[in-house]
Amino acid sequence: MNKNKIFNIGIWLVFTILFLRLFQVQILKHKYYYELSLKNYLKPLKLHAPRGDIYDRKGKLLAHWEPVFRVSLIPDLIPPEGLKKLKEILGRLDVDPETLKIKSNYITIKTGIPFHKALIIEENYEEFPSVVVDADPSRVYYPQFNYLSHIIGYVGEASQEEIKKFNLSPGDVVGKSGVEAVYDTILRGRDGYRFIAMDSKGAIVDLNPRPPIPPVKGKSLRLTIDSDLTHYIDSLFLPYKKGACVVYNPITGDIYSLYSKPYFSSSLIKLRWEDYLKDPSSPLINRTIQGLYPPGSVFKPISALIGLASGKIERNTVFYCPGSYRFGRRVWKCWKSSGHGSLDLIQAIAQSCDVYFYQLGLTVGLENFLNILKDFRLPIKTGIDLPGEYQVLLPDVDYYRKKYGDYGFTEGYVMNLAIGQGEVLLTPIWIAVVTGIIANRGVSAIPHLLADHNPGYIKWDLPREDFEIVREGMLQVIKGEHGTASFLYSPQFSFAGKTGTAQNPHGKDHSLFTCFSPYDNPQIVITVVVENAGHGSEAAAPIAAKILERWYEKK
Amino acid sequence: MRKNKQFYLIGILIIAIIITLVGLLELSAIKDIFFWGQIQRLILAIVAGMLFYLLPFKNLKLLSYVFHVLILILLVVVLFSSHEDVKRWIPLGSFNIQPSEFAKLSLILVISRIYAEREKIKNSQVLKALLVTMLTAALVLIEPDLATSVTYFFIFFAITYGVGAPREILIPLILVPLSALFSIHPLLIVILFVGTFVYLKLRNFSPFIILINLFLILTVSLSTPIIWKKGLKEYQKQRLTAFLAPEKYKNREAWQIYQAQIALGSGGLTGKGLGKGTQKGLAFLPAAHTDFIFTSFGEEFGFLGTSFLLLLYSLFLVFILKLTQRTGRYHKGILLGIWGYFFYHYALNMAANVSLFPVAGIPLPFMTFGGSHIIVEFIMLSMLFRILKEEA
Repeated sequence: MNKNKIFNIGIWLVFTILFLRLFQVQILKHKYYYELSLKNYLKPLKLHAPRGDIYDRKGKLLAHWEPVFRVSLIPDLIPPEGLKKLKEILGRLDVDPETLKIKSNYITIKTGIPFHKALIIEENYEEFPSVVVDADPSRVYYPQFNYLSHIIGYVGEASQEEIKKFNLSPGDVVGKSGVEAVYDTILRGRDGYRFIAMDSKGAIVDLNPRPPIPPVKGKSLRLTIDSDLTHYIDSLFLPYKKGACVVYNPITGDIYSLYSKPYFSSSLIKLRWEDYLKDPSSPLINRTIQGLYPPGSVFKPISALIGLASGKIERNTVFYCPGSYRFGRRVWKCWKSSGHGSLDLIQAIAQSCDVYFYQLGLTVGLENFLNILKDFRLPIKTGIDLPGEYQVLLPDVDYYRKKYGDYGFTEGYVMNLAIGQGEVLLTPIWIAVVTGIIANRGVSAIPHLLADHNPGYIKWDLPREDFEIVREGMLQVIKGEHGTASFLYSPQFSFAGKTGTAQNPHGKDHSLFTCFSPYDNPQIVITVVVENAGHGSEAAAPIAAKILERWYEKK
Repeated sequence: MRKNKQFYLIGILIIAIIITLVGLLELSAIKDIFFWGQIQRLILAIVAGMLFYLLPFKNLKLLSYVFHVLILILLVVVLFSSHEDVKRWIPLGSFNIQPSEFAKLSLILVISRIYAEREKIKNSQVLKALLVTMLTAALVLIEPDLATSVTYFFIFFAITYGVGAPREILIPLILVPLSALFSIHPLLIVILFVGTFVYLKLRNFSPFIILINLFLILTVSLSTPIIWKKGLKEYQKQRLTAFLAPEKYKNREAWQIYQAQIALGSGGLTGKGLGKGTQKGLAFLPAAHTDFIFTSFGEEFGFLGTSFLLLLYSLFLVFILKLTQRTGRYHKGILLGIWGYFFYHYALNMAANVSLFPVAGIPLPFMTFGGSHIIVEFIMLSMLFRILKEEA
């Protein structure tokens, strides 16, 4: 009897222990284990959100998306021979082998595969555990808008740094350049997930065991760009190999055109990447923001403002130009060897007299000239909403000391500086903005590509009269009898500008022209650079005039 | 009294049938071939049970040594019948016979017969029974099958203690496994040592017996770690370490245990429904039809199902104990052996399923897919009926 009691205690003791344990596992920890059981067989696969569309200012679609086939798998579940066969079918994979080693979740190994390859994989699904072929949104660019590639940019697989920075997964796509990069977070949208049920070996048992979390398409962007106008500019550049053009509204900051030649194709970037990199004409460089040019005579309005600011030069300050100027042991030539005769400041700008500006520079003095330029506090970048804008080079005394040593430079250096040769290097977008500031007598909007957006203004604090003097000089470039671009005069519209010829040690001079219109109430600034095209009046100025003509036609 | 026993016997039968049906249901949800395979084995088991019912115990008593020697021969044969590392089965057509299962039955008969030899049980009888048990266990240990060889000892203890063997022989017998178990921590050994000393002193045992027992504790507890290091196979150690830290080893040895926990836990209160277990159905749960059939059942029927099953097994054991009241020594030995068999199997299998114990490959009575243990269990069932009939 006593012994049976002990046996019975044994029975109920075991019962109690097992019962409590079952209660703990099945009731108390149910949620935890249930989640784990879901994780075991329900594998989430990212559904990429389509990127937002990109439109030009008139609503023309510049960048869209379309579904393409993609192949995804769980590296842990695919046997080596399956992976090998998959590589044979697909060719080079999009992901690096390191990513393929570690993951126990879905990763996309290739996107944009052709239909027949998708079919081969689907038909042999038993050899490829966990492999799923489905649709993935892919960015579409239109070849007819290739001339906008620098602005639009392109997308690509997120790099390791980008994955960390934006909390992405391998295989995600991010904007790599242009607007795609700058406004990536707006365009990207929110990714969703689908779920795939599989057994422990990776054999898929249900492709849709629970409703997917749908992705949310990225927001679309409207740009300030006028693609028709840019197309027209592209046609104007047909005779030339390299150059850049900025058309922009100094009041609103809207960039109507930002043209850089040669350009690449956003849609072919992946395919032609190596070619683009090797191309000596550097099509990947956006010359409007990354091209650093010596401004040549385009700098003369700034020299004039320096002279006026120094108090040593006035509107009526007259210098005589016999066609050359002797300083020290050297004779400095004017571009017009026959000479301009006696000129005031306005005529000096209009006729772009080098000898006048040599004397202006010498009157102000090198150190003074540089210090005034520094005091202007002009920005070294315009702040345009594009990645990779280069800083312009506006030298100061320290710069000269560093470059030439404390006594390595002489007073004569100011002569070169005053005519925009030598140390100064400017980008077309910077020239356009400064042209806008002069045109608007001290203020211009920061140029931007995103429509309905005002990022602010750039100011240049100088007396209004000083700007008026320079403006008048620039008007005389067109309107004046002897203006360097007087052949472009048109009674239909008023405009003022400045030609420039940048000496190029590697070949023919670069032709520059910057202008604004209308004269009284400027609404548009155009800056044109044509590389290796000679005088500013020969190539760049006619292009600007044609653009203006069309702009007034369409208005 | 007889009426009561009839009532318990019917209860035992009903419970056995319910558990068998639950097992079949679960096997049908795993794979059709397991279901039909188990049906075949059940038919065989029922036939075997009926044949044994016809056999009077006095014949069995005479033949018990012969039976056991035959089984022991089979246990030797099994060692030469296979070239695999683990030699447990004798292939016989479409079935594999596992002699170590049948040894449990013959051992019960032999031990019961030994204790039925005299009116008062002598120490020599206990030692004789222990010797037979050790011989059987040793052969099974070579296979190797540690868990099964331990079964024999459990059965031996259940019978020996239940039939009222002298205390002075029982105490050292119990001290051996306890010392081995407590050797995991020095403090436990000290407690056991002091506890034993106090108990024996209070019970007025002679100093000689006290000394022998204390010496036993020291010897066993000190030699166990050495045996652990040298004697256990690598897979056995892995099972044990995996059991101790399943989450840490989840991609290796403990994968089974870890996945079993997920299966059981994800079942929740009511389970996922028959055939809807994802752990079992999608092959995350290994050995769903054998070692982990309880887990597989638990995933689909939840806590309600598992605790119901738990209750059934417990009642089953309680009812068998009821049958031992006022029985002859021989019958009582057999009943206790049967009780020991079911208790050990159910407790160890379930403990492994809820990861309270390492996975030992012990079948769950009436449920685990397999022929040998089902046949043995049905023969045991029929023995219960035979005993009641003979007592009338």
